[in-house]
Amino acid sequence: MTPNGLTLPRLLAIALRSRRRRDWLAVTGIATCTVLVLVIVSAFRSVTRAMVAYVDQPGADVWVSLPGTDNLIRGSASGLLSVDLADSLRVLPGVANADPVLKGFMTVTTTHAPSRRASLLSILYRSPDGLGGPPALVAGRTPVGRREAAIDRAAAHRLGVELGDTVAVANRNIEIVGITRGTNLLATQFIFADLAASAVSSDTRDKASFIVLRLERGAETEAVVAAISARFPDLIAHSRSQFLANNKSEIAAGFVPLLTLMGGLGVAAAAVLVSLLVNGATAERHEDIVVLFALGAELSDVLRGLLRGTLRQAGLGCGLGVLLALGLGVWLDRWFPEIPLTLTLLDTVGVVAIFAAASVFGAAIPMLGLQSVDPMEAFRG
Amino acid sequence: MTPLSLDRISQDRGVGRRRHRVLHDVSLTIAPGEFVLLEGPSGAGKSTLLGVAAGMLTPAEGSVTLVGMELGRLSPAARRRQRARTLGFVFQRSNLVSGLTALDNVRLMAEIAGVPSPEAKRRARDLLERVGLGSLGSRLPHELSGGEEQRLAIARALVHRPALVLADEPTSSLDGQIGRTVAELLATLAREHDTAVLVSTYDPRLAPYAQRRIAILDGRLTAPSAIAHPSPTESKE
Repeated sequence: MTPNGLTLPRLLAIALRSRRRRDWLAVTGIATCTVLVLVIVSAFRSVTRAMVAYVDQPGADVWVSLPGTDNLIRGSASGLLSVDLADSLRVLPGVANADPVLKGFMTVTTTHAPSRRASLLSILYRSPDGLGGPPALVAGRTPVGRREAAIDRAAAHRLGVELGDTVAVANRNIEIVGITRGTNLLATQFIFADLAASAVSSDTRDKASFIVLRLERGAETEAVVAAISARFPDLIAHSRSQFLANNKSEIAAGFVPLLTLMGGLGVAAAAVLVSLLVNGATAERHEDIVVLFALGAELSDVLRGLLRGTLRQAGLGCGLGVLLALGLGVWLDRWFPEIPLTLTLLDTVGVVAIFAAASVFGAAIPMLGLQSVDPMEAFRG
Repeated sequence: MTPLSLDRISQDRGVGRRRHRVLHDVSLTIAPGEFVLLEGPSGAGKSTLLGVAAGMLTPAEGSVTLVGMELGRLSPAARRRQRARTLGFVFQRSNLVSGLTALDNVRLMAEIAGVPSPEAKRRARDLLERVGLGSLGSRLPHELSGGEEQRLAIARALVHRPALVLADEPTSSLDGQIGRTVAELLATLAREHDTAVLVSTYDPRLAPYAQRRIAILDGRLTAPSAIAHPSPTESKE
């Protein structure tokens, strides 16, 4: 270790820096991998956020369902509840209100040519102000009656419809009266309509998937859940937090394995890229490294110089990747809202840290080869 | 203190049946400030001798003492530190660090040797002026001529005020007057810095500056008269 701290590592970092083209190749490669991983992570976050926005809305304190149905995404085939159950639940101590919600999937078709179609997650509720309605409207109003619906903004984009347009659902024409936001689950989107729309089918008429309860101020959620279990042993009551956790877990079950695989491949690609580029850089700078060792430079100083350069490339690449991902998010939101991207600071920091670690790991392999560099080569002209 | 003392050095090269001796029982002492020419044809063992003197090669037999430190007793890291502090190098090709400017090439050597940073920068500037490259400090090595590169290498070799400069055929790639100028600059600056110089060469242009000439042939030190010098045309005059 030399006594003069910072300057030697800086000089060595400059001395061992890759040539400009290779440098930018590394930065661009890392940026591309960073964007890839950030897009995957933020798409997952967006789906989770959409589910949270719906389930965690004010007033939806307890969700009651038949056994086997504990989330919005998938339910059991154990049947549906009667909407009249809401009246029985509403009178329980601590319950301020109870409303039925019927969940399902609707194939929505546009009525203009060429026709487009989308399968949407339908939420039928007691509009306009029953529990379980849309969490946020960005345009229009909540639907009233069986001939109106509010759909997610991304679904509207997919279908090419706007407020006031008509779509067809099961051979019925429905007018789009509201556009919701934050209700995009990537694979599908929400559509909200009045529970009256369920009357078109005898299977669903006066039926509900869930009864959503709003509790009185000061009421204990666990006490109400326990009371429902005691009074209605054939039903399952989920507290808001439990129901939220169930939905998040359901989303994660579908997303996380793919997310982990894709993210891992992205990080591995970045590590391999850095490894190749550092390998190229050390080959390119071989003569310089020989001279440095001949002059008496420490292996650790040379490694630090190379590492500094690698971290600089990783930092620039990650920074560029984050900027590109942010820009892509804005662009997608404007022109292609079907793909929602939500970047959080924690995710961004995590991804950057993982890429920095992967870069160091990738650089370590070619760096280890420096131990065998023979300074005598400097004498061999 | 004696800059360099080689005591009965033998060195082998190769492994197994291909192993052969390239230095035989070589003893040599360089006095402070002395300018010594090590002459010999290609393959005679000059570079190997310099490598052993620099602690880059560990001799099979004998001992090397560099400014009071016997290298055989030091760890590889300590040998490297001793080399950085006490030796300067001028290689056959200038072997400058290609990504650094002329000024930073000189400064880098001082930093490696442990000279504090501001002092390293000051010395580097002074020496660049001294070798006539004061205005070219911001140039990269590939932007310099061959003669300028070797002058820069001389500045680098002396910036940390080493006890000994090892120069490996420093003028062999330079033509006529340029080679003489570089040889003179090396001798003059070494004298000014009271630095000993051991030059391996086959170039007679360096002979006028030598206080002592020794020769090596087939790995054995011998009298300079024992080897045939190349003709003036061969020496790039």
